[in-house]
Amino acid sequence: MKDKQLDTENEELLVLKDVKTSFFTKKGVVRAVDGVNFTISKGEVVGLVGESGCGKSITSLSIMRLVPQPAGKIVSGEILFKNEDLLKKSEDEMRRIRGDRISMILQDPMVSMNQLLKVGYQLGEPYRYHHKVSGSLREMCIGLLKKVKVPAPESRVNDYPFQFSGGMCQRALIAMGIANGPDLLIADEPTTALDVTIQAQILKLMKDIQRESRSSIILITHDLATVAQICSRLLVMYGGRIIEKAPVKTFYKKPAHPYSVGLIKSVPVLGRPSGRLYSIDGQPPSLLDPPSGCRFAPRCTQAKKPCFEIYPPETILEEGHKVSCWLY
Amino acid sequence: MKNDAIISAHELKKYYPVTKGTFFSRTVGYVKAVDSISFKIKSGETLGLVGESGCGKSTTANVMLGLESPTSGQIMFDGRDITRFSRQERFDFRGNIQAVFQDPFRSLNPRKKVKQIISEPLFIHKVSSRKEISFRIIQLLDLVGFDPHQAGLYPHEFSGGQRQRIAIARALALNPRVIILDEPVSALDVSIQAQILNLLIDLQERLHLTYLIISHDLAVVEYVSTHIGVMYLGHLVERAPSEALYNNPIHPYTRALLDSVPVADPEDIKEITLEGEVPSPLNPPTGCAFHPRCPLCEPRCSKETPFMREVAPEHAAACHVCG
Repeated sequence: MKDKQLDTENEELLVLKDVKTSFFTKKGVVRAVDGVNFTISKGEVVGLVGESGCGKSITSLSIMRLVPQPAGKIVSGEILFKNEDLLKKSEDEMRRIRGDRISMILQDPMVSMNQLLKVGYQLGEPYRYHHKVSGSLREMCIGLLKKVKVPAPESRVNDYPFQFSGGMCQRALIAMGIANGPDLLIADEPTTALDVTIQAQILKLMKDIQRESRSSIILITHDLATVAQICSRLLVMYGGRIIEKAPVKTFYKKPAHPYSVGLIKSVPVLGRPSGRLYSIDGQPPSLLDPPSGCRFAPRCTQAKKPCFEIYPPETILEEGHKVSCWLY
Repeated sequence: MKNDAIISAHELKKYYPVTKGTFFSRTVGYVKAVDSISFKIKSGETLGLVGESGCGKSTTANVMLGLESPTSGQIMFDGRDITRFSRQERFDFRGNIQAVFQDPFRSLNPRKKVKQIISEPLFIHKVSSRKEISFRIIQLLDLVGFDPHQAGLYPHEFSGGQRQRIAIARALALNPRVIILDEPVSALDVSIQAQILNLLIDLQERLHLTYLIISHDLAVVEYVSTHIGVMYLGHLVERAPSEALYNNPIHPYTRALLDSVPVADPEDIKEITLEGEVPSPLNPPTGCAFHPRCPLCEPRCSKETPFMREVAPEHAAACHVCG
């Protein structure tokens, strides 16, 4: 089940085929990621959207092969990165990929850095790990900080993370992520912990860097607005599965899955006349023993009998727009 | 001016001293977390306070709740200054203003059942007999959309949105007239956030409540509030009815804030309007606190502190240049 690319020149960088990641707990098996398929092309910015507990972070950890052990395990599937299956790699080979070809930016910038080491040292770390370095990396680190627009990089390079503000820490982490010019950057909620004015700055920065380096970005977020600002395509995840894939412009005009429709409608929008906000009733499903039918069926207003019994297959609505729903 | 406000703050200040030295500590300066802000909320209305982190909005909430005592200024509730209350008066008064906090995972005691959590204020204030209390619990649970049989469960058996409902039920237990909500939905998912916001609006209509809502999310605040106050570095820079604030923002910071809210529309890509970051409150800029980032900055902005001026009925902004 490959995605047909809008731009046929683009080659596939990352392909996930029926990836399943489960957590084996005392209460039973939690199917956090339950058969996820998608493709990321070179130079593409893709948003992975979903609510907490829908499996979006576990998907990204599965790509990095960093699923918490021993409870978590990638049960089946293939993760093809540049046509090589990451799941068949040894831990050593994986280490050479992480931080070099695939790097990750995490949600909370203040927690992601080591408070006891200077920012400059931490910036150089990914480079030092993957290359033979004899001299100082100071110049390179200053260059990196300049790239992410930290003011006064010459002196800032000697600062400790606690001397940085949240926005600047996130800039430094982005600098760390791009230090080795990765092919794929996974950004897990990069702007959630930041204020709106800073968020706008960071999104702009990520867009600029992407344009310059042509690396692909997977942006994981719960915020539909962030996705609209920088992504070209988005994947909506619900209950461990991807329920809708669409180009961003199509998605906001014609969302297909009832969950996507509800999600867009339930966001309060500035300046829209107030009245009651649309809300999706009920709670997201537990991934412990999920129902066999559509995961969204219990909350769906248009659910019919088959919805509760058989999981809907992916239907192609138009070029690049796919949805898993019995309505189509 | 007519004084029909149910709760109001006058020149409210909260300074935290910054000390140096361990044994002979001396005060070397103050962090002006809240610097002379004034506002009033009429009965049945909602004031939303927005601002970036560190602008003093949560401190304002804590001072209003009486969790912190203000450095100076007054908080008037029904014509009485609640900052001057004695211990006993404060205790008796507490039922009038209740709070809902941000993180429903930390604001509920994990070792207590829902009915114990909700009835705790009733027991502390000895408002009713045991029999009445169990009736009241069912009534409160019903208000926030729970079944009576869920009263015996523990908080961990609920999701984030349901826990926030429990926190709201607890806040309603003493029939408060004002509820102060500090980031009530920022820890929740989008689809759940809408449920809670709708619940808050329904409760306000049914019980004629007055809200003070603190949030960093302008869209959320605009949705629930009748009036909005914008804070920057301890100052209130603009205060207006929500529609006026959105349609006709005066202060350059308000405009920048409105402009930088990302929109869920790929055709409407935002350009950043505001460079730089919020300065440290330990060493705030002279004059107007916003002047180093302000696109309209004039020489006098760095020297004179602007005061709130009314530009339209109920609409005031603190800016030398605009308005």
